[in-house]
Amino acid sequence: MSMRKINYIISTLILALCYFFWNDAAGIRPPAHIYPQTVIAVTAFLAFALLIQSIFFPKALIQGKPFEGTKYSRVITSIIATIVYYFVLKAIGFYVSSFFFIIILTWLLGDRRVGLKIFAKLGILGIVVMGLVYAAFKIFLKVPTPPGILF
Amino acid sequence: MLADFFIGFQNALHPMNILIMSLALAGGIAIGTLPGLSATMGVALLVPLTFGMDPATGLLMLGAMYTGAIYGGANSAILINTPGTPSAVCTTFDGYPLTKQGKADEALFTALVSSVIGGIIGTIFLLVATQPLALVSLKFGSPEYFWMAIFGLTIISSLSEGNMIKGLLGGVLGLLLATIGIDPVTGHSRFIFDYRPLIGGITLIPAMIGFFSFAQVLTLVDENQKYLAEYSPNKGVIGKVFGHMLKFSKKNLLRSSLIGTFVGILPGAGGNVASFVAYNEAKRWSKNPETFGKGEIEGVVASESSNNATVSSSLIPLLSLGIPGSPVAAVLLGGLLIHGLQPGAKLFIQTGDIAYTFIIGLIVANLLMLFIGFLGMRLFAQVLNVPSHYIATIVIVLSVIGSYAIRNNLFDIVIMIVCGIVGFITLKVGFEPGPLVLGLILGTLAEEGFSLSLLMAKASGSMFGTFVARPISAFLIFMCIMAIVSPIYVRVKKSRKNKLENA
Repeated sequence: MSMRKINYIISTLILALCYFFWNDAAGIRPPAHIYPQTVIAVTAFLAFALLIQSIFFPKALIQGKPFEGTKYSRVITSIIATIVYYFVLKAIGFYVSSFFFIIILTWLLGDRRVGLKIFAKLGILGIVVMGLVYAAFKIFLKVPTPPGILF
Repeated sequence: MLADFFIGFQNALHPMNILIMSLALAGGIAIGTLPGLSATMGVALLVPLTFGMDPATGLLMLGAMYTGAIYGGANSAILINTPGTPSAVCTTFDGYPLTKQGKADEALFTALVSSVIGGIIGTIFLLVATQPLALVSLKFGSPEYFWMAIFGLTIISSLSEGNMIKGLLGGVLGLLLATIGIDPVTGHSRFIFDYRPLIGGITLIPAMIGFFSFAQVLTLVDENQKYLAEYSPNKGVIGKVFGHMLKFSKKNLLRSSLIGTFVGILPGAGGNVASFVAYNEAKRWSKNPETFGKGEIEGVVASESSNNATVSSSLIPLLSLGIPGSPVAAVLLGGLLIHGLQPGAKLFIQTGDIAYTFIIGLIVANLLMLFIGFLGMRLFAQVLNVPSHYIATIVIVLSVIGSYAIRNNLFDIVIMIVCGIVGFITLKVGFEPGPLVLGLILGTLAEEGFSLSLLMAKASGSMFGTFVARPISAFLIFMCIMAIVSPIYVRVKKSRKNKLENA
């Protein structure tokens, strides 16, 4: 997709966002509405300016296709793994879920070889990292971590 | 007073105090390096440890922790493009490109030396100009804070490399995100669209971790390179950095440290605002502004010297007037009160020896940081020798705990993930995270200043009198105009010169 088309989508999305925010701001008691409505108006103006620039002055845009060459499978894998990690840590706790997350995502982003040696290496990495995190956050800094049914 | 000064000098150089300051500095650097763990948290954690200590030693430990934490943010900013603290956001702009160019150790050592010099300049002001500077800070009312925030926002024009409209749009979107949550004037919720967790607003730290850290992880994963950057320790980096700084950075160092000192004394503004203002000024005064954002060492100098100058200057209102101007100063106030010390003018009269021990100790802590930071720097730089897919996974785990640690709220992890995904996409389409985060940082300051000024104007019956006809406001408006007009003037002048040369 070209930058021009992407800019059409971005400006439309931001204008829609401004519409929702403006409607919500209408309910704010005066004079508290002035600041947010000013910010919304400036945002909408700039989104409109981007749209105009993309339509009439395409030479001013960075040329090329921004998403060309994106390794979607790796990026989406990382995003999905992080979302799953969030739900798992909510249920079973930070330390156990993080240990498995480190092993699984590192393997998925690596060369994905299967073998006892590989998983032993990743297991050691998980233990070392989580050990350091436990020592730093739990023992020294006493920072609470997300709780769960396990640890 | 002179006797107190000499007692303070002796106390600050006591071997036990030096040892305690060294340990606190090392801890502070580690805390600052980890995104999400703040200087306030580090200092607060140490307060209970000072109970059994001599008051001067306890305060020295807290001051050293604060100094180390503010500097520590630069390490992760330079090595993995993730600011460890909000005040290191500007350090990423040139620090990470330098790492990509194989100059990580040069950037790290520059950050260290700049932090030390900025910290010492700020402390000298704390030592000699506490009273007058505190009185100037008291002259800052809501209109001045509003214009201060607007002045900070003018940096967007210099952060918008590719497309000015996108840079400005990023900045105002940051301002818009900062309005989500409770309205500061009426106390009502707004822009939450019936989704209750949004009532607390978009918290800065998780959003910053998302935009910089998680978005950077996704970029790393997308690039699929074995290592973050080529790295091998460069011989003679110390001489090279000192040589460069002595030759080219003197003005920048002094200007940025003074900006940091002045912004630091303003309650509510801090290292993050100071570093943006200093970075903007460094770029504006530079002979090569086009190199900023692409690995310009002067960018690192400006950001780091200014944010560390705020460490001491943020204590000026506390020590002279008893007003804590920053969260860390509030924690330090607790530390002072625990030891039976009364901040304000009495501190220097009744317990002058302790006050001077603390202030001179901050200078000593900065000098110690040169050695401890140097040792740590070698260790942190080894990160670049770890395969990038290992780094990516570990950074996600640290981002999760860093986002959660601020409020112990699981929703902050959601904010971090969403901001990260948005940050990755926006980076691809030409929106830099800098203006967005700047908008988020300055949004609260701008809104509070604007809303309160509006109420003041209503009460006084003069909008002009409230917003413009005040000496500091008028000066800040002038600075805003200069910040906008001067880059345009320089650009026009340069293009004319190029045309003449080509003709």
